[in-house]
Amino acid sequence: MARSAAIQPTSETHDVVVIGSGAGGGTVAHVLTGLGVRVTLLEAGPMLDPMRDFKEHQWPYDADHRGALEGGARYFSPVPRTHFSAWSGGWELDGEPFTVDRGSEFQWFRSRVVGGRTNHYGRMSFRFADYDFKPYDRDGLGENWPITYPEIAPYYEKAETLIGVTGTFEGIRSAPDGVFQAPPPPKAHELLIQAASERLNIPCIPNRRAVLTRPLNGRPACHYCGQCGRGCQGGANYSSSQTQIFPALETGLLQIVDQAMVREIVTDGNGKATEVIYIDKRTGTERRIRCRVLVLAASACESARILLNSKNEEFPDGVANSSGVVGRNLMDTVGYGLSARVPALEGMPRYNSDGAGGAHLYMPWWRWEEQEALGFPRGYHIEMGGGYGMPGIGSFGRVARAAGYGAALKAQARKEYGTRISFEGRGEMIPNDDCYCEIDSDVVDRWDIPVLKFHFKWSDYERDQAKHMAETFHALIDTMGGIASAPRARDASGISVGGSIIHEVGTVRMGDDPETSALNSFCQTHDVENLFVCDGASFVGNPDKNPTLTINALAWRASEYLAEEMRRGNV
Amino acid sequence: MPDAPDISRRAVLKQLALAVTAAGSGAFNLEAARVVHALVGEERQAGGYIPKLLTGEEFATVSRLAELIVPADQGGGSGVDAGAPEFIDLLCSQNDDLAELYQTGLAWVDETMLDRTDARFVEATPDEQTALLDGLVEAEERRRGSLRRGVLFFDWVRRMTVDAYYTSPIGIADVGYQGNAVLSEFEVSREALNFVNYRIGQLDELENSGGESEEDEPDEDEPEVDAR
Repeated sequence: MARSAAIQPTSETHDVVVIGSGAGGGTVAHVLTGLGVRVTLLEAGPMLDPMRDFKEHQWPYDADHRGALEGGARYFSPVPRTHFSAWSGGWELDGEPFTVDRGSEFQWFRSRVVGGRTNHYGRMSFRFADYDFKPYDRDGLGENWPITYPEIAPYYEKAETLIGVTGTFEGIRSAPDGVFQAPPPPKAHELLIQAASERLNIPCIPNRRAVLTRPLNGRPACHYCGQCGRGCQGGANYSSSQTQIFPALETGLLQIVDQAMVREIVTDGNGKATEVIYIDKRTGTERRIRCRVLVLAASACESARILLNSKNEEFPDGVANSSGVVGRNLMDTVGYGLSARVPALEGMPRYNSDGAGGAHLYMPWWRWEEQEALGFPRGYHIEMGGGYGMPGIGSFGRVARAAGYGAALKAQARKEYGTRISFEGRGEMIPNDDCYCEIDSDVVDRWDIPVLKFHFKWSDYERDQAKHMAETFHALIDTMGGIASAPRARDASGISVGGSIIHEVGTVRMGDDPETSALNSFCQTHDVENLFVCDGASFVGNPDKNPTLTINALAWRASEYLAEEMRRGNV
Repeated sequence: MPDAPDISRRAVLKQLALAVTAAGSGAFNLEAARVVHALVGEERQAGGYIPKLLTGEEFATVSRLAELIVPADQGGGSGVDAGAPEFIDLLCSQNDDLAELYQTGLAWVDETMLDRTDARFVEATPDEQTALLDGLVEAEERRRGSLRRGVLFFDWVRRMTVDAYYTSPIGIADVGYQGNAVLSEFEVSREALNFVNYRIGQLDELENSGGESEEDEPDEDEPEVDAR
């Protein structure tokens, strides 16, 4: 794997410096180098070597701790920790704290490695619907995007064509069709779920995931080991590292500076970004890199943090923050999950149900024409789990407690294995004034960089939506004769903690009005014409569709615009 | 699980190295990897495991508990066969809190058995041993009784024994997991399809047959961050 030497202090000006290598930064690097533009990519974590770093195909017994982590740390951790996933980070990072305001709850998942969170993410790849870009016009809540579905559709197509997405043509307005590879057939338990959903008139269609079922551009098709979350050594699923960054390195136009923790953006007093100050984590020393154009793609909250930490005479509230919206408009996805034991699945002949590393079916939002009757705005889609998963730490904990010990315990494990299914609702949040991040003036990280403080509160819109999810899931479970793991919700206490769905977006939002937005529709900051923000920070709303594909599409569109502006000498 | 074939460890390692080199693209010979693992495990057993933290007596007590919690039967071996005592001892050696929990718990087990029988746990008869475990399960359900002090420890040793068993080759084979394989196409077996279609045909009877919800916690599988 090519690894560049650390940049030496020099007067060399780099054409385009990109901060961050996830879905946004990876797309920018790939598109710009494809157009002949030189790119220098700063990544806060190390270079990635999938063959060395991904634990694909390992068995739990390949680790002495079986996945419980050293000292059984996983047994004692309040947040999920796992040994096999390709995280290179997690819910907590040593020396990199963040704070949460009293009365708020928020979690922040960070992945410090080339490819970022795309190395392990769920690969759900849904286009936003046409109406998702004009939500204010529908119900008077939130804001409209400065972009329409027809404007972004060609970029969805380009992204899908590159990364490879499974799916079928359904003609459902809430879930626009795209460029699809053939999906894998449904798993056995999913057929039972689909039959139940049909009884409830909920559409249940082939999932749309960035996992190849046919070879594409030298990447192999999926081999159905079901371990996408560990990273795919062959690159059969989409990750920005393997699909975009490594191919971009082949052009000779991409240079990667890894272990580069960005502190601050420097401007020249005339509305131009000229330099990035970063910490070389290998040596702990501060370095500077000069740039003609700067693209922030460090993840929504990290990008906001960098802008807010870049205060100078020209931008006393942070670079590109004359509107004051940087850090505001923080959104996550509304999550609610319910699992069930389905006795009807007991006794099914075992088969290898691993599949393409996630559900092969899903349920898109189906009631977009009846919003007023629902009592809450917007909607959600339903993801599902189940099947004969690879046993791991905790897989039979509930069985053990229920069965006592001994022969009965083993018999119960055999009987219940593979009979548990789960539903996960993924819904749209309405942005509110209580949800934002700001710089915590009292806390710095290990490099003395001030950290983020989060404020986050759901409103009744989200709580009512979560209650609706609970009712839907109970209805599905009842239809299959299942036994739910939680009683019917009388309140929305099962709603996810903000940030925990890892769809945080909106903190440097785009818009036509520079007074109320920081970016134009090409992700270019209103204040600094050679500064772009190409991650989920640009989102105006957060529809129920998982954000990655839209980050890809917006970054692609911004990159083509940027290359043209550079060619014309405008930036 | 594969039977360890009658070939030398060196030959297998060589075969594995060749498989890795030949694959190149990232696939490798899973079967060879498993054989190597099995051989390594056999060597460790042949050499005898030396506990890192627990005393010999404590280790023997944990081993007997693991055997009782997950006994050998026709579907698979025991918690001891799966390496549960080693797993527990290793993690205890890395975690003072866990070590104290086990040391205190194991002492309680012996004291309690001595009160009942004048014998330490491992020296008691199988009937006396299962009587104590039955009492612990009962105390766990009723949350009262003189044995309730041992319930927390019992839950830990059961939890970790169960984890060690079902993460071992014999436990994985016991429940019949068939995955972690390289396939050219995904398909559901004909037998499973027939079964599920039969169930779908029974939906009218299945509806609402599940009854009340179970309020205990669902299994905590590998956290599904990748499903978000």
